[in-house]
Amino acid sequence: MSNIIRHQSDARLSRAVIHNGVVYLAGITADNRGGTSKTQTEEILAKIDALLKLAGSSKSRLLSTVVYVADMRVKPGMDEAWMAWIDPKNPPARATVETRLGTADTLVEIMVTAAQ
Amino acid sequence: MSNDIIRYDPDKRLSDMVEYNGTLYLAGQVGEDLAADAKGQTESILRQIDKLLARGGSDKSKILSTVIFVADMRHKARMDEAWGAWMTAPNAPARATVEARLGSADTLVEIMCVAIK
Repeated sequence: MSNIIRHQSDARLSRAVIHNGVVYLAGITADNRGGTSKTQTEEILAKIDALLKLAGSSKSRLLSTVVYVADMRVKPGMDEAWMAWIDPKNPPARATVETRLGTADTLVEIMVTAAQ
Repeated sequence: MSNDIIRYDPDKRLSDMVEYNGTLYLAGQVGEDLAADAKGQTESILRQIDKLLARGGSDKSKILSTVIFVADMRHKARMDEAWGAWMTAPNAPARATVEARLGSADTLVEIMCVAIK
């Protein structure tokens, strides 16, 4: 009965979960947290590209996104990387909010939902 | 291939609503008059959600899930007043409310929801 596909799963979470043609990605953060919100976002978006590809989707098929920033002052840097990355014809629904993230130097975390 | 996804009011950054496979994904909505209190901002947000859902062939009785961001938990009661006047049993969606700082200092509430057509 279960037709849920999970990718990069561990005991705690899966990086990508697919059901009924919809791909749900975990909150993705950058490994290199020495950088700015722009470079962190660039790394995050590259990871999202790879996960979407693994799930048979792409950034042109994004449905919805929540962007968490550690401080609203880093939003412009995030947005620069975001706008350079998205398919301009196919932007998703999005919200950006400020909240504390996993570590003090994590500036950005992005969670997306996409169609396969 | 991408005609199966409908995007409402896309700009260079985001779409206000995205439709796929009978499901509507709304962007985070904020009040139009940010001088209003949390109740007034929420009322404005809910009117915008009503309009978006109507454009997608849906309405508030078909919302699956909602996340409400409030700039300060002290605003939650006023937000809930507006929400409670708008939402009717037995159609209440799954909902979470959390505190987060929002796009501008005077943005007190932001609401994101997913609905079916």
